[in-house]
Amino acid sequence: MDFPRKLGKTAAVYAFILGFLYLTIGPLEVAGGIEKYNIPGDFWTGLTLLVVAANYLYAVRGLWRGEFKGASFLLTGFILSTVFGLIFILLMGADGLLYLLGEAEEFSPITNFRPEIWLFIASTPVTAFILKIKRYMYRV
Amino acid sequence: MGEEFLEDLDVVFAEKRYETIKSILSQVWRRKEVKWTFTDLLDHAFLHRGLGIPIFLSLLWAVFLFTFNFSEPFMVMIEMFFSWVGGFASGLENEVLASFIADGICGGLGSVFVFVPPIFFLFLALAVLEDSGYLARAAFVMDRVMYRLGLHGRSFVPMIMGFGCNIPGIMATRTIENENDRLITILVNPLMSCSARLPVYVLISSVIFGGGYLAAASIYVMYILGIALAIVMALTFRKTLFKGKPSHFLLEFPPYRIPTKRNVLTLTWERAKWFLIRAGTIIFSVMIIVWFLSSFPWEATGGGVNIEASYIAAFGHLIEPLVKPFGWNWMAAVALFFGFLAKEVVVGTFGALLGGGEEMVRDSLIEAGMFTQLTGFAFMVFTLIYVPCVATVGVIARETNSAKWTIFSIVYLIVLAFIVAGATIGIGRLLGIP
Repeated sequence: MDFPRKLGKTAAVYAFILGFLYLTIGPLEVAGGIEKYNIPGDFWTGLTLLVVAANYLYAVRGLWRGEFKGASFLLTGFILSTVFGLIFILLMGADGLLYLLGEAEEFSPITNFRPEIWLFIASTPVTAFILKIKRYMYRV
Repeated sequence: MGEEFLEDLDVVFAEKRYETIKSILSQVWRRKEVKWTFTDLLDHAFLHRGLGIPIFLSLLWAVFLFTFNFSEPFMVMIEMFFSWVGGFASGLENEVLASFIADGICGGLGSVFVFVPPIFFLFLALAVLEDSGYLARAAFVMDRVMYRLGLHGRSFVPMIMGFGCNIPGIMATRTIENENDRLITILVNPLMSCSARLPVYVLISSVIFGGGYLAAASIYVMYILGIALAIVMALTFRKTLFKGKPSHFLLEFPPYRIPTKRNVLTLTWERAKWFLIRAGTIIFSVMIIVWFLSSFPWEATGGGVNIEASYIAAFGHLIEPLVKPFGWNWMAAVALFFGFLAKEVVVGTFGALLGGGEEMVRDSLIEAGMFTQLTGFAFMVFTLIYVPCVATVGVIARETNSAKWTIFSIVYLIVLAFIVAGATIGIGRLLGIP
């Protein structure tokens, strides 16, 4: 055990929820999306969401045991979700700019608010866990 | 026997070096004992046997998603600028000068300059990955696959550099000691999509898929196809021309760090500058030639209006039979021909041939109906594979110091381009893709 089990169990449950969400949205994007729920069809991004899901789910067992190995996958999953979340926020801005330049007929922030963005926002509490385990990385 | 001994010697040297560092440090420096560092945390996942490669491919997709979609408004702005200058120049009294500025400079060179934003953002994203320390890990992760497929792990860095430009990529193979490993890496390096091919992909994908995520996905496929073909060809060369196993790979990882603004911008500028210099010299010169050939004889073409009467059309019709089976016309043949001088010229040639006046090259290509989804995609595939630019061929000649390998690299790439583009068309037709 590398850090308190209680801390690890809380993180494990959260990692499982995040993994489950990514595992749900990823295949939907790969399969062509659901317009009604604002899930676009995006094959490659869908596949990357599955990679994020794999990282979060892979983290669960290690976190439950209070091991850094679990924290490692949680951190990587968080980095990937941050990368994609921030990219789609930037793309939202780019779409807005295209609209202002007269190159796009309409700009809808709601349509541009892709699952990757809200999944990234949902992942942000992971930072609190990472900061908490930081102190256990050094044996004083 | 001798090579194996040298490889073992490398490992012994590395082990001894670290033992010495450790013993010196233990005498002069005391610190809190570390269980895990952030580098350990990240490496455990990034270098994972099962997840390492999917993570690498996901990050590569993130790079392309960012590069091509985020650069779109900036490309529009540059397009608007050249459109404005072209419109202004059209009003000049001297017809030849007006045609030169509007069609030659704005249509040709302008259509290449439009691609400065995606190239800049591609280099920016790669610089972030490099400065963070991740690219070295990517080399390690890919080594497992590459070793099995006959490539040396150290080949990965020249291959990644090939994404920027094949010239430094090929020059970077000097770090590979084994001559066979080095030759294989040189021969397959042109299959890595250099940034000069990017304008062609962006243009054709936007013509056939109308931009957006599908266009970005098709460009991503080009990069993945380049890597896949490089691996297949390396394996083929290993089994036929350079028999034996690749030598072992020894790599020291830098620690992870948050990329600094200064480092990233310097790296980006150093690489993007090269594109601007090329655009101002080689591409500009070629565009003048293309404009001249497409506008003269002046009387016969009516000042470049009736392009079918131009010198370039006569030449294009001569080489058209070579590309006709793929569903491309003489303009595509000419664009590919001049692309040998510099790949960006493919786009510039289309610009000079079609994009006269205020009309931009993408709209002109759509209007002309030159490409269907299938033939356009096959054109992208062909551009990816067929001969590298003349400067790269020069570097291959210098680095291999052999006319035989230089000619071989040109011939095998042309043959491979015809085979893969032909297979793309054949499979596409079987699947009923328009």
